[in-house]
Amino acid sequence: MDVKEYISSGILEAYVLGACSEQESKEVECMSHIYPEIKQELISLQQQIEKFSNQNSISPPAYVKRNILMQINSEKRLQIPKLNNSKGNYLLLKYGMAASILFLIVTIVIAIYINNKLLISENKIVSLTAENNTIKKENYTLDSIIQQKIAALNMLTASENEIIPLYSAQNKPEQSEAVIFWNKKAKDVCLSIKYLPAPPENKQYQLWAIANNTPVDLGVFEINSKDEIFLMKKTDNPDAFAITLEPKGGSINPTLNEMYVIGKVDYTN
Amino acid sequence: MQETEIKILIDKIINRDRKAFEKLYDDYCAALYTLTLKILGQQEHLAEDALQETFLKIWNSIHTYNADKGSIYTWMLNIARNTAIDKLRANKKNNKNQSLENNVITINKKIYDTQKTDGIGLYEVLNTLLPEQKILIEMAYYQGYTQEEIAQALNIPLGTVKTRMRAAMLDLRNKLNVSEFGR
Repeated sequence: MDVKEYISSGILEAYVLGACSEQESKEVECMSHIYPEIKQELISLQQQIEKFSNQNSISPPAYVKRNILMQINSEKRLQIPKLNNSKGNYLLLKYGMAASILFLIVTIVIAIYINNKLLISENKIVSLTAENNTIKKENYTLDSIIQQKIAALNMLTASENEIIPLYSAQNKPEQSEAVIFWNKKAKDVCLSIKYLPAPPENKQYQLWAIANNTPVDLGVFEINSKDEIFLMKKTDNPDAFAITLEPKGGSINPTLNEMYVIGKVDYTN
Repeated sequence: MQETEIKILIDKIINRDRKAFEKLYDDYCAALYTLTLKILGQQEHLAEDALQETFLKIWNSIHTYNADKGSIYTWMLNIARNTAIDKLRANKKNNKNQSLENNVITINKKIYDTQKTDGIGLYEVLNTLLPEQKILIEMAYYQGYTQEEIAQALNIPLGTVKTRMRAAMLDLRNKLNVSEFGR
């Protein structure tokens, strides 16, 4: 298209004087956008008009300005043209997102904290369970101890029980002491050790019943804790009871110089 | 004002800076008022109303101003011109029907009456144009006629209107450059 021809057609002059139709105006704007020459000519013409307008200009009365300012001040303070509304919405979006992210972070922190507490609780449960098991075992042990005590008490009080104290023998520690509960009817023999020195590793204590000057083996026993009661072999008519220190497992015949305690049975009752 | 200064001012006004808008008013109100007054045939009360409307329109549509199309001054002049012409037409409707020619003559008369003898006025320059050219400018710019409407009103071919208008503008431009008009 011939730019020069377009310019000399006079359409640009008509445009700046506002004498174009709407169609022609759009055409001029379009041409001006495409062809810099046309744009330049257009700007030049507009500047002419601007110069016209500056000639001998008359100032309006002051109240006009006041009215205008009053009018715009009475508008809602937040009234912002479309352009800035999008800015406002964007700000809202930014704040919304920031708040959401903050909320998320807080939620995560709380979740981690709660999880920690949960782990601690679980550990506690494990250790408490272990403690519980230990306590149960102790209970069993205590139960059996109680049973033993009750049995010992029964023996002490049962009428058919003969209580035969065994005292220390010659050349043996004086504190050595034991008690035999002999059930005259059932012939059961219960042995209670008050004190016996701890035996060497390879030796063990053995109980004998002496009848007709003949020692009879009533069994070996192991001293583990105080106040133990041992159920030994039965015996019919013992004259006496004695405990000797024998090699582990016991002997067929007692080692007489290793006799620690001995006690006679009293038949006079 | 420099171009960058103007751009900053416009941005402020878009952001509803009322002080910036006041400055814009102070700088341009006279030019816009003068144009408004001319279009409305020196009727001050009408011109004051029109000027108020003009600046409110500027305030409310500042964000639509496109620097690509021209200067802010031209943009504001066009708003002032359109507002004034709308008021002129509305006012005419309220008044008795006058013939087109009568209007033109009346306005011409009014324009002549307000000629300043001191200083250089636009009308001195306009007056130096050929009458057939001058009337085109007046009808188009000050009364809002399109070229088609002028052709119809004056009963001359549209092509003639176009060429005369161009010649008129060229003439004005030359005379303005020669006589060193300007700010």
